[in-house]
Amino acid sequence: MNAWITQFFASYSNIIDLCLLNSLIAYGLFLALSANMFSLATGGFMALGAYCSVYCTMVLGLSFAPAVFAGALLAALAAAAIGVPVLRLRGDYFMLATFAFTEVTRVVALNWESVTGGAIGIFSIPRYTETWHLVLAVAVVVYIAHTLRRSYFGRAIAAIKQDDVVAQSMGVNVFAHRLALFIASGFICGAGGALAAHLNYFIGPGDFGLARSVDALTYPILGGVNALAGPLVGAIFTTLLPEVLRFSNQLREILMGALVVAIVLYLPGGAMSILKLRWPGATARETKLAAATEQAQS
Amino acid sequence: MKRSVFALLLSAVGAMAFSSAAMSETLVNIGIVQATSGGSAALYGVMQKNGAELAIEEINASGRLGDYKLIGIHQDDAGDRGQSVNIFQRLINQEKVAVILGPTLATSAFAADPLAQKAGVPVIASSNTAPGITDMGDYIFRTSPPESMVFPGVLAYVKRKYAPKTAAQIYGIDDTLMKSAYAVHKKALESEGIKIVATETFQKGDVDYSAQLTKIKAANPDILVIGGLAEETANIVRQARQLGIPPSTGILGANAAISNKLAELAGDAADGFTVGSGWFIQYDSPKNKAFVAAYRKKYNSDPDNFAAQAYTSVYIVADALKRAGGVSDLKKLRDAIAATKDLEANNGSFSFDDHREPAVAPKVLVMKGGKFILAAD
Repeated sequence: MNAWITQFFASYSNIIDLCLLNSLIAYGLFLALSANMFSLATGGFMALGAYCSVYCTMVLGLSFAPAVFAGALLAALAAAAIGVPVLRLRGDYFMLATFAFTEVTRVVALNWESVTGGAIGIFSIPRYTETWHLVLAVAVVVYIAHTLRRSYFGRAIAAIKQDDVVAQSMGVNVFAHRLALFIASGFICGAGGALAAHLNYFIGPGDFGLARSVDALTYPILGGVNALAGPLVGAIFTTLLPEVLRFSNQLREILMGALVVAIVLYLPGGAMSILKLRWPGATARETKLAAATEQAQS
Repeated sequence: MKRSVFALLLSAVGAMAFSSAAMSETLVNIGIVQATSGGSAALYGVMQKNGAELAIEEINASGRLGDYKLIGIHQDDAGDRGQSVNIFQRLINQEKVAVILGPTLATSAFAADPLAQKAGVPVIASSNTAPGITDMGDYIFRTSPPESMVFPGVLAYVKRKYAPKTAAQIYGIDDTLMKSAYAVHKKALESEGIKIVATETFQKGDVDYSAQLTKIKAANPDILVIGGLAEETANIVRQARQLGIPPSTGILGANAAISNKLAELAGDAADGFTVGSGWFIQYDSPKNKAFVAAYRKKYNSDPDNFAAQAYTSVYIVADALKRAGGVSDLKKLRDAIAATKDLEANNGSFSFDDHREPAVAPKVLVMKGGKFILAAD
């Protein structure tokens, strides 16, 4: 049995690591989405975290923990810097601005050769990231998200999500709340980038482009933005899908696309809403709640 | 009725399984990690998968390995580094492969090869041309000659033909391969004492190069050196001639630009375009003729140099397996692969040098009438 576990872990540890890493980023996005911020800045934040932490470990010779922290902090600073002007923009404009940030970061990484290695990237990065680091990071982030939801801050965020104009009129400082969440999102994605950089020996500018940002956005949306476990489910699902569908060879990409479309179409609340379908109690409770709300409103 | 047919089939399969077990065959798993989906990486990946699988089929049919039977296990990494690492882990720990062929992209190699090195499983790449691949460890080999191995030959030929004093360079700034080719070209030009009078850059997917080429034309170089992949190179060559850079200015390209697509896209403008390669389709040897014929028969298309190099990789493994006396000890297999010397391959006699790089005679190719032919002095 023990041998079996060892072998299983040896064969699949990278998949497990990737699931955890993507979950971490998914929670970073989850925080942003919880205040209706469709951020495409993830790629940029991860790039900052990755390059900064690699610079710390490989050039400055710092140990791993401060390097990850430095990477995360730099990404958080960037989030603050772009958040202040950009968070006043709404909807599509916010998305465009964050997309621009990711592109600019990628182009800088491509051209700042002395630090980033340019298009060739940086290789032979020491492998410091252990599975337990990732487990710990995800656990901490889940705990924070959980506590936040129950706090005054969380209620204010929920109000912003419903309608930011009404929230503002109720005395919630919409801008400050969004900025705080965006910075937290930047911090988490930066830490994710730093952990990713020390996982697979190599980073290059192509790793953190628009594709990364869009992927990161799909995790919580597929999993469900309302449930705490949504990002985790979405990230694991999206990471495992290409591996599970490997048998289908050429059909793989078509199947992946079809599955994602099916989820969006039939489970608009994300994959987590499947639990509600199976859980009559929850549905009943919700109906009761809805009825009560209706009564109160009439 | 249906059920009985099914039962018959089942028993037939069972009997086959029995008979093969009775023959005491030893199965040798060979991991083939090539991208067959996921954009441009698939262009190279499919070719190499085809080449490797063709070679495995031939070797098994020939019976040259006696009781050993090669089993190719192909896995598609879609050019995505995370997936390459996933696959390497599974191939090494689950499938217990004796050797891994691939991966398609150098960036995947930098992430995945260290795992094989640590586990002591030999890796033979047939499309990684970036510098630093074999520096990752003594279990990492490649059959794809790096640019630094083929370009000096090209330059020597061009020197005889054009006697250049000045050169212009244009290269892709956002791609590992193109950029490292540029560095190799620059070094070679400088060491030959050729003055570089203009250096221009472009990005992957660009289609209009007139701005850069106009500047280059103004500098009036004797030769133009392109660090690009097939598509970009073809466009640059065509536009250079259109803008009036005369045929007396020779155009040189990188190894990675060799593709049947190049002639298609560049048309007549590509006449005289010079590159270096480890292999080309008209290479005149019985072994190569047999390879090209077999490839055409199986896949109904022409092989390219990546298919040829993957094909060679499998023959190297088979040859080493024989000398190592099996695959029970992968260290022995590695040593046997490293000792590969003068193996009769489809591009001449093949050896590995001390750095596990391919030692084959580089061939200088010139485009003529839409086909690459061996440069005649």
